[in-house]
Amino acid sequence: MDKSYSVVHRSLAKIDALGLIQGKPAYTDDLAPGDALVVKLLRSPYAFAKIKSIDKSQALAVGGVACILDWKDVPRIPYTRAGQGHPEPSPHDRFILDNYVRYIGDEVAIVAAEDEATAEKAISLIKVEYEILEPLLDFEKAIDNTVVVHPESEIHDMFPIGFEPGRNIAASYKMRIGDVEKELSASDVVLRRSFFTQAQAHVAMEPHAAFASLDIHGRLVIVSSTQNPFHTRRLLAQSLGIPIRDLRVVKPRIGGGFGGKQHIHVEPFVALVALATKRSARIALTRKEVFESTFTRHRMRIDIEAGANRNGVLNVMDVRVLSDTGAYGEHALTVFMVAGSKTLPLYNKMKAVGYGGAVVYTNHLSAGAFRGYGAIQGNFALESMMDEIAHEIHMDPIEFRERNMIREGQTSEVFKIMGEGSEGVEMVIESCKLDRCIARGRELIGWDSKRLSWEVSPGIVRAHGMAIAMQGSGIPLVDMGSATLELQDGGWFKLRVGATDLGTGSDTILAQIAAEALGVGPEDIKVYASDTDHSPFDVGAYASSTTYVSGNAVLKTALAMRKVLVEAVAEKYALKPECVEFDGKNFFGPEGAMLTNLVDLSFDTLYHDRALMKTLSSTASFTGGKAPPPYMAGFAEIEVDLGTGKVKLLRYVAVVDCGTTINPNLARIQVEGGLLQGIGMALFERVVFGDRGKLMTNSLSRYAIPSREDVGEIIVEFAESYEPSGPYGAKSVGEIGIDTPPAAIANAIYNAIGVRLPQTPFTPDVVWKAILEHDPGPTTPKNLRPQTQLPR
Amino acid sequence: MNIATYRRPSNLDEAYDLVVKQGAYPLGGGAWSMSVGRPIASAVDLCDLGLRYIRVEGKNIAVGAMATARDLERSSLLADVFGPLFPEALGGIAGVQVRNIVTAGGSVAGRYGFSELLVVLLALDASLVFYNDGTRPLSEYLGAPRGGAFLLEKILLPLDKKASYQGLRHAATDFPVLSVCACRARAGWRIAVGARPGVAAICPGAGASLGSTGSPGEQMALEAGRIAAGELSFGEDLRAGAEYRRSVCSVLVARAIRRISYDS
Amino acid sequence: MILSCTVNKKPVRLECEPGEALADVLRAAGYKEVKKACGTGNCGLCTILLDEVPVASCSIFAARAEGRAITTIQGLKKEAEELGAYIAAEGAEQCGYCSPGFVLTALAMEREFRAQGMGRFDELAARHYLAGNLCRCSGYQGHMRALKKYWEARNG
Repeated sequence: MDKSYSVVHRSLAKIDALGLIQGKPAYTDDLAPGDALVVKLLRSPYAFAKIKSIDKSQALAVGGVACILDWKDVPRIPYTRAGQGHPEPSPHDRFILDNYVRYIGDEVAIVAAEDEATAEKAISLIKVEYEILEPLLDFEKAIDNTVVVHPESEIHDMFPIGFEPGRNIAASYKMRIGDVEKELSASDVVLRRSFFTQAQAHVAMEPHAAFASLDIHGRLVIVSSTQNPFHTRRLLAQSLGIPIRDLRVVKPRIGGGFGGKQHIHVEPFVALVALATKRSARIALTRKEVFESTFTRHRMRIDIEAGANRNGVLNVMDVRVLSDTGAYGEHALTVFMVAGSKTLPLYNKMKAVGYGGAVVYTNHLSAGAFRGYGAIQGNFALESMMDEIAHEIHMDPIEFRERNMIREGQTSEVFKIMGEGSEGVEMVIESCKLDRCIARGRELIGWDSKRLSWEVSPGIVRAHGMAIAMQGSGIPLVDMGSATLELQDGGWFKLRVGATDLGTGSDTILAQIAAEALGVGPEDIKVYASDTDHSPFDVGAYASSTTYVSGNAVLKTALAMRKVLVEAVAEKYALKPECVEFDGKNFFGPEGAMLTNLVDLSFDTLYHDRALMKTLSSTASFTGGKAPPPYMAGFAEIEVDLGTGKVKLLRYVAVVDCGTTINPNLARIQVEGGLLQGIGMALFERVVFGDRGKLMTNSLSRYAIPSREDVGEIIVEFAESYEPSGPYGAKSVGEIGIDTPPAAIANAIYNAIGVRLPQTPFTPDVVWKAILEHDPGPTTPKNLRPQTQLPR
Repeated sequence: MNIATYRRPSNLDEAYDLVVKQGAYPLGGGAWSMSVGRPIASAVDLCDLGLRYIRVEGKNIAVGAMATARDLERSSLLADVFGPLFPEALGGIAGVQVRNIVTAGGSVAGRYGFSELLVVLLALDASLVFYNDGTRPLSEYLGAPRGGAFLLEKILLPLDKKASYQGLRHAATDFPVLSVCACRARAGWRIAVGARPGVAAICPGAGASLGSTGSPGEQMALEAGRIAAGELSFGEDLRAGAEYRRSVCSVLVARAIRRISYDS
Repeated sequence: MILSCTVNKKPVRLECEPGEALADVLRAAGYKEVKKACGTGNCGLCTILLDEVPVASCSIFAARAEGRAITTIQGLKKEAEELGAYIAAEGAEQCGYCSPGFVLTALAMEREFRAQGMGRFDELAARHYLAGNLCRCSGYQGHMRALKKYWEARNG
């Protein structure tokens, strides 16, 4: 491997940084035409109801109302809002509008008016008669409940995913490796534990927005804050019943996604209005609507049974998961799969592994894709369990992990068996510095297995806890990305990609990769992304795919471009291509003779070379034959106030192996940002529903996300490896940062107070209750005994 | 927020006429009204009445009704008298950009359960000066049912007291789970607790248990905390349950008392 | 009603309803640099300076701005560019949606800290001052690194 890079592995500023910082109009709602109709949605006030009648007459009589559409006015085509490959692993269980509403906030009618006030007035005048139905709100009671969330007959899956809507099951799955029962009975120690993770809201700062218009050809043009323009185009065409060729989706800058914009939420509504009125139509959700009517993380109950020997050998784990997908099944199966497929391979020496369960419907708002995508839920359960076993066999939690964890050159049977929606792919891990991550992390935090908690003052206890994690790099043999390079007059390149920069800086790192491969400066690569009419295909930004999948596509394209350039020069000078050298500026012939330079070549091929004139371009695509996981070790130092139960995060150390960091600063921010979302989920972020299914946490004053005062020091380092299959050795880094905080903080709390918290978040009242109920007396089960005496 | 009629009087008499006689809705900072979004038929903006001040008036500090939370937080006059009390109590309210909007008068008139300011003012035994309608202790005002139009002009704080604030939040910029202020004066102690989640209330028993001692010891502080927790009612909301609030009340009351003892 | 005020030193007359949020009035008038993300005063994205003081323009009714001076990030171009370069050098703007509000508040903070005679950059004080400026992408660490370097370069 050649590590003398000139453009990659450097912390260049994002190419769009200064424009964004100065607030230049760049996001969807900034760009919407001023004369566009304003679209607002009438939403269901009931968790489950059948619409008996809708009277729009009074609303339509309001001056300035352009159109009102209800379920009878829109195509009745089952589809899924999940932005995923084709055929989608999510059930087609949704209509743009239906005569059933399945959660409070579900769409009932689309109103378009000249301005917002008029649209709102019209909404207030629509009279809907509902037949209120008993809602299903407890996901643990969903299976075979008398309430059936989806009684309609037209809905279906695209291939077998265990879809049984009559039983409220959106998807189910089961797999076994080895003889689980035998290994459990042969283990010295067997533990059974149940863990719960709460739903979490994405809270991307830019609320979902889109606008639509018909172009001069009558094609529908949608500008949308989406993570996946091509999936959006396909899903939208299907849901509207129009050919894909009649749609164009444009993505401007996006104000954060985190999976929350990996679905179509608002696009069908503006599309229908534009088609109905032949006018531009815009929509921007309010924060309340984003909370109440977009998606959350899947809440899960995870039961684990594990067997180990007293010498520290982990023999077996049997994992059962129940996941709540809410009213619709977007990402139901795949998130559920990732809870196992991107956690269990961490401990690849187990003799037997079981994984199975179901994803169920309830009358809550839908769950969907969210950074971590099941891995954070699974990691919380798995890494809490690892500490539980370590305590049970009196072994340092780090030592126990080190004895059982995956290492470079090894594989896991899970890779082959579990994919996302179908089988996985076999994969030998060619880059894994997990051992370095742990060693460096324990050094930075000051881990001392004899002193994992200590009292700093009466009633104030500090403690350490840790967890390790893995993620993936795209979905192997499913995700595909492409890039096109084209030489422009003046000697610079257009780089067109379908990859979708959500603010992560992916446009910048893709330009870095292209510049490195071409040997030119980054200023000579101008990135255009993403527009389905102008960008080559890419599945979009999700599943930690952009650096690895789109990055590899760009690398292939740039290497092909070099070849194209050299061949053009060879042709011009009647040389064999192998006799021409290119150093990024100049072209040399035999014996180093200077032939021409890139600038001259660019003018010559476009203007001067008469019969030889042509556009010099290259296009290449990449799909991963595997998805090399990034790895990390996370260490928390917390302080527990025993009087109030308040847990403060004093320090968090994260050491990450994501291969080569293409842009170390941007990689670091990815980890820091991911950590904070994981910390929020661990400490206080909580989606709360009322008795009748009403979302109580529907504003930022009721759903707090971490501020800059909520964490102490965050230390991020990279244990760099070189992934042979990645662009310049890179793996992904988008999601890995979010995974460890719930388990690492739970493990630290256990070390502080001697109680295992099986459910996130660890709010002060929860911790206080645990302290109160903790009885350190002789009857306490061994595995609940703290390593150090509970400070008083 | 939908305001049908908006008026901005330039003197107190005019404002009094609109608010008290005609029943118009007085706007303090307006931030809470904005976020609640209820329509207002007739609104009176109090921003041109010269009520944004913090100054010494005789034996009191007078806080104009339109002084912002940030004014209170940054006031050197308040800092000289009360030390870090106001920045500690008010510094957790959302961000500076909201503390620059919300007003002392708005917090009093709104009687918000989450209000840190009310806890502090109640502990300090502040009085409210109503334009044309006399002066009443804040405790009396909070004890009486809502109703009756009034024009709050200023809040009077005593100069001879020490107080300390203790609060607990899930996230730093979130509303408090519980707010406590302990105040020591020559006559004795006053302990106030807010975000129960109900509006701030005085704990008479806890205050009395400390007698007139200047620095109560650890045991007395803990006992006062226990009494406070026992004599108030607590409820449940999104952030915590009643049982937890009661428990934390005793801890925070003891800490607030201890803090004053140490500081003196 | 017609709101008369100045925006970025330029006198303007903006059509508005008195109870409308100032943020909405400004965006409708084309000041797209004023972002809006929560509508409840919690996120700080809509921060503008009103007579030089940072306020959440989603939480103040438009009529309150009558006769006053509004500054958006476009009114502090030079300063924003200077601080912005430090933020960009860390990659900390990320999606950038919170950046205008954050940078305006940070510039107001710098002015206040200087007036208080702050010498060395006090990170805890800065975190407290800026706590109302939420960011969901960056984890804040990059912001703080940038602010420290910026402060040291200008005030060190």
